[in-house]
Amino acid sequence: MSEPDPARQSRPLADLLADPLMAAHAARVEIAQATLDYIRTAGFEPTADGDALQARTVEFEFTRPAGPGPDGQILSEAVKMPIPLLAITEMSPQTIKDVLIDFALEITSVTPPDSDGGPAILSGLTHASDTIPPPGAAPRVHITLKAKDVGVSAGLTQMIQIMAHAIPHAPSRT
Amino acid sequence: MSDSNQPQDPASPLSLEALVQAVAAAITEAQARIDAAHLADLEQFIDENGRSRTLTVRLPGPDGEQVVDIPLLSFAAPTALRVTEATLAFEIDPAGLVLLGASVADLTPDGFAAHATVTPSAADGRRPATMTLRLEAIPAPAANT
Repeated sequence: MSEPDPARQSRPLADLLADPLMAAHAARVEIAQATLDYIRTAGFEPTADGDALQARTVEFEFTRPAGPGPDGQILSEAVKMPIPLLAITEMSPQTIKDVLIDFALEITSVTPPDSDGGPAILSGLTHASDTIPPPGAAPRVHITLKAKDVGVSAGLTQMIQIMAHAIPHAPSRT
Repeated sequence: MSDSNQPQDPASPLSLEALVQAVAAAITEAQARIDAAHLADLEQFIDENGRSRTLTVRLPGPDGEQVVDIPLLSFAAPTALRVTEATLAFEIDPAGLVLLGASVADLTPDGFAAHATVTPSAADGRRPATMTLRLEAIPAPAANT
């Protein structure tokens, strides 16, 4: 006797909705990690003693006017300026901003509301949304779910601001 | 355990209210799982003592090089994913459609706004009509800071 196809097993609707959302979430985490890795490797390099990272810099050299000299001529001075690479590199973190999940669901069972007034639970099988149900098939519902990136939460934003203010006050370890 | 919570045959009538509430509950649960995963990700930015994980970097400055601990959160703060809308389209038998005097808004669970449209698929009305139900998640009000 052949094993039932897991893809054809009935599952609660919450699972059917959550699984693709969790996959999108996992992808977003991987992208964020890749961004962090990029910043770490492209923007910094290990120091000789290995206890810190050193900002990769590019050195700009130019001359600029330095005021009048004793004989009235305008003097110039050479300036060397190390600029952190990250400061002059376009860095726009990538992420998944919008998620659109579209599928057809064949309702296979309905668990009525519980005695505490909880909602009914639908279980079903998913189908490609363009398939046509055979005559007499179980009720089918076409579901489109939209999710979007709503940004950093207010609490986290505030926490980052607190940390940003704390950085200049950290003891300098030159 | 009573038999009242046993799964029933999907072919038996399912009220619109039960359908809307079941779908809204499934969306709420899916969102809760995403939120839990999001919180777990945030913990990766904080060490076991509750301190923010940092990158220790040497930066050039006007007074020479200085060492600064930069919180990882400031490089890639995790953003939240939120379900904003779900649309359900299903066939209904127009002959069995009974107007109860209740609006869709009456059936809508807390935290959602609902909009419904019914599109007849044939002029004679004998073939199934399509009902489209759109549930919009209402964002929670921002906390006062």
